[in-house]
Amino acid sequence: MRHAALWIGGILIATMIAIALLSPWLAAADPRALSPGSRLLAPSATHWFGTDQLGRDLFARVLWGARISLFVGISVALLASLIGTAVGMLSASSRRLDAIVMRVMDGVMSIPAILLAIALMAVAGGSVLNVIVAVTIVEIPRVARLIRSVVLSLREEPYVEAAISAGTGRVMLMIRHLLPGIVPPLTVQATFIWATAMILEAALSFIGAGTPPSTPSWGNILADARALWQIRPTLIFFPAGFLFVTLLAVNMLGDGLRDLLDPRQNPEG
Amino acid sequence: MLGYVVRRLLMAVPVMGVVALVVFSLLYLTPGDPAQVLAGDTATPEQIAKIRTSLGLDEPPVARFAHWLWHMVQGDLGASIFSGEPVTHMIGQRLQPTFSLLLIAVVISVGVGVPFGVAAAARRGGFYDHALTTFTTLGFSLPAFIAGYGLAYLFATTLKWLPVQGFVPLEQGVDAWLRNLILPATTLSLVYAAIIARVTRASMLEVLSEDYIRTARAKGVAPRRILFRHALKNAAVPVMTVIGIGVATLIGSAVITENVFAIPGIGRLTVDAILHRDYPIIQGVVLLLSAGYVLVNVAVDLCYTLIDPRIRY
Amino acid sequence: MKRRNFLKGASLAGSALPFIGRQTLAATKTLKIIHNGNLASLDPIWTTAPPTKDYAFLVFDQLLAVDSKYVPHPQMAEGWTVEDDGKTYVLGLRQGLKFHDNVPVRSADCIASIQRWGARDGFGQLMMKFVDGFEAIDDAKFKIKLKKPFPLLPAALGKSNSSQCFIMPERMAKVDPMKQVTETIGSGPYRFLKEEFVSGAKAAWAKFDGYIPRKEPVDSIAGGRIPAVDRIEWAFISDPSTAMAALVAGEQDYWDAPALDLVPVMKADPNIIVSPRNLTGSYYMLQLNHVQPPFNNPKIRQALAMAIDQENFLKAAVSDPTLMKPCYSYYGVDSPYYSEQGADVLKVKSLDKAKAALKEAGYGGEKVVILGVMENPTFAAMAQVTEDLLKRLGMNVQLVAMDFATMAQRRTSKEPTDKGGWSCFITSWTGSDIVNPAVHQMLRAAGTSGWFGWPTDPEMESLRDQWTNATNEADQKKAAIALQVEAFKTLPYIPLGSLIALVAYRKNLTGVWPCPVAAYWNIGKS
Repeated sequence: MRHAALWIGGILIATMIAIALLSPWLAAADPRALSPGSRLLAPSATHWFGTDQLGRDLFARVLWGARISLFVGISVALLASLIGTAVGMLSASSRRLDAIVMRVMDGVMSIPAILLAIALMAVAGGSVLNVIVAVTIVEIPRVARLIRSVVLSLREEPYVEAAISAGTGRVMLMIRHLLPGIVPPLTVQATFIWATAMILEAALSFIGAGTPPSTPSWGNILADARALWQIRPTLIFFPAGFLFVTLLAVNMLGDGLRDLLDPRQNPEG
Repeated sequence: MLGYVVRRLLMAVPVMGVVALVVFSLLYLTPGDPAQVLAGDTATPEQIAKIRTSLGLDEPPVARFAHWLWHMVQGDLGASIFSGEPVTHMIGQRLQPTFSLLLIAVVISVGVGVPFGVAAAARRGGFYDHALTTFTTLGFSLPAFIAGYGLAYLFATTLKWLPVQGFVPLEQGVDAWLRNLILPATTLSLVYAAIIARVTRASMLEVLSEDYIRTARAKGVAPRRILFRHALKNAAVPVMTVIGIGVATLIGSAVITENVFAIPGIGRLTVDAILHRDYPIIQGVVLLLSAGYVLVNVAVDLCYTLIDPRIRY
Repeated sequence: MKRRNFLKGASLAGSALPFIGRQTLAATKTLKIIHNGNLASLDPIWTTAPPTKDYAFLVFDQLLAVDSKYVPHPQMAEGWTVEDDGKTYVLGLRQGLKFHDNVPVRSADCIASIQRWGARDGFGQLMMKFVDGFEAIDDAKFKIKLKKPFPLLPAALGKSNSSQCFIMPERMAKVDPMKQVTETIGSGPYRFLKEEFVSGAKAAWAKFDGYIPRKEPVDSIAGGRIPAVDRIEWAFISDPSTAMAALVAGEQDYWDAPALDLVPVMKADPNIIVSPRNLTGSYYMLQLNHVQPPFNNPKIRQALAMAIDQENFLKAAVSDPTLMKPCYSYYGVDSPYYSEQGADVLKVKSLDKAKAALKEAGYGGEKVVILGVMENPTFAAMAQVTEDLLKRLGMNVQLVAMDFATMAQRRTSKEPTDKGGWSCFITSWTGSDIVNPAVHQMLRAAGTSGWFGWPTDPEMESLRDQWTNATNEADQKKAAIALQVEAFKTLPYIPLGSLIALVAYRKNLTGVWPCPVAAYWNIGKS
């Protein structure tokens, strides 16, 4: 099948998004309903995935968790891509600006995401928004660097030189001539950022600076499960499985998109 | 080129200064009083106030920042609020574990990723190509802590081939040092090797479709020679970029790995310091990190010149 | 197995090379202990954190020490006599006691140490109110002169909960109590190897050959503190799965605070023993803010208490019912004052009755802010149970997740909840911390000068004074119980019951005995 990766990835992602949107109807139980007496139960007819350490239904939490995790992943990927592209293009547009902007990016990279997340959390209370902001800020320099290097190399291309000598304005140049060349590597990078954001969300939950504990997200379900997987492996198995399938789909989608958009690698040529 | 290096390093100084300022402001704005945490549960408000004064925490922030800067340029990063030990000493103790971990991880990642990427590009759609897609996606999609637990469970607890946790300094024996690092470094490498493999493959594919490669093939140059002597060298620039950027990712994921495998590195030091608001340590570590990134990026940019003679500064 | 032997062989070869390996200390017995928390402070009067407490018990020694019934016995002291109708205590030191730098212990060291301890510790401060002065009779004997009789003095000096009265060299004890000591010289059974200390990573001690243990068998912290191994090493492993794997693999010998949920896995391992060492357990409490609505209204506090079922809170933390012990008292079960008098409000356990009471109390929808510390899984679980309960009670509740440092600061705020204030949080103490009205920090009602929450009840305070001034045990008991009955009316905090604290260690360890602190003397390796 042509573009198998694109199709498979696309279908899986669509499925996950559908699950996320339909979670209130697909899962009968309330993901936040505590029942300490029934904690850490194995999968059964009443609890398809079992229960977590506070007796909450894991099936419901994993399904609802899709909402938060996908939201975090997509938001960070979109925001970081947009802002990073703007910064990268800006940097590539003038040598002087380049030096300054790139050094600023170096600086931003050295601030640990954890510090940002904890600072935000301490000021504003733990929330999904804080996680998104903290992870986005950390991912921007990567995108900026990539876009900058792509633009710098694209500038040497004959068609761009031609456009410049034809007097095309800077903005028009960027949009019509550079953007198409940027999109392939950017989409790959964006899918990678999507994956990283979901994983970073889990890492932040480990130290308590992630999404609030009652709000289900794959990240904090996994974080809670770290001390418990040896007695109830399903606690890690199910959310990790969903996370894995989503990330797989995202990566396949990215691969498929890149193959589709890159004329040289398209055998039809 | 020396001028380029010097200029880059000089420019790094104001950047690091700005980073220091941003972190300092961030810490100042973040609630959480280290004097409170230090004083413990049974201290009275008067006692806590005294402790704050003795730590210099009630000076106006500008004065505190100025003091810190002044000491910093003399090489004194201050002392930990909690243990009283000099920050430079504490960071120094943690450097070897983190460096060792990163070193082995880089070796594994590059050692596995580059050849894999080359093999995949050599025959598009072939066995290695599909294998690469599968394994790299696996690598991206598996969070470090799950991979860590899994590897530890398999190789340490079940097969008993390697230790579960801990770090042995190099001075106490190369073999013990390595044995303790294999599992955590592998955990770290999963993502890193995946990126390197993919970028190598993509970059190689780009280069392999170039005209001069087709010419070499037509001339009958051996495929292996084409791959390594002609293609890889030219494909190396993006790969190097990614290795450089990747070091940044590594340091971030090292935090989790150090936690899972109980390695006393900078990652753990930083997280603990952040959670306790041990300001001098946080400031010291961030300074170190920003210096590190600058150096790594300068090194990578310099490597470009070695690989691609067209690039000149 | 071939591979394992290869690796073993390689490592043997490696350690044989003189310029790479170090000398293997052949017959050294090393006790390897897993600690969850970081050893941050080396000053025992500065913090009640367990790692510092455990460190201090190894490095320092005490004049007196209590046994499992909280009866004080001589430790460094030969004994003590009481003169002058109870207004003078004369203590004599045992012969031959030395500090780790081989300098003999003198009265001056003891006096300075007691004074420094008395400046910071609650029980110590109470004692110092009675103290008129100290006098060193000679290097081995000294007097403590009191203004009024204080029969609790030996119990104060020998107490087992933090902060304990440890004896330091005079020069260390003269360090301002508002500054931390930096030296690590004590007269305890093990000496601290400061050069090997990496804060947050590892710590090590070596047996002090000059230590002279008592002859009596161990009983809580009393008795002979015999150093039974040559070295003690701590590894700080914060990940519970890794800690358990290390214990199972034999890389470590003793886990001080195993994750309770992992206990079944360890119990199934024939090489590991899991048992309660601290029979007093951990007591959990819901601390309330008495200066802001809604919990400044005593009727609302009572309504809340009616809704609370301790078992729900305890069940959120562990599955094993043998580890949960509801406690309808303000004292621990091993306290001489333990009783359920006055505790009826805690036994109601009815959501409906509580709702009715809440309405009657005039609850008007005021916001309840729960400070939730997420780093500690037990606290995190209980905070979520609290949030769930208050919601079902119909209250306007918000659980704010934060790390400990933020919580430590936020709970100092006396402002309303919309200005950064708080309404309640979960905390815990050990059994020996709540054994009597002197050490019990939270059974106070001194208003805004007290612990976070600031309950006010002059009757409670006067009953506490009655207990302090009581001259015989019967009067003490009467006052203590009356204090509890009054406390159940005021509800300074709501007791949530206790969890048994377990330790896990490998089978080849000897001499592990029940003790309210993590004491590592007497423990050997076969």
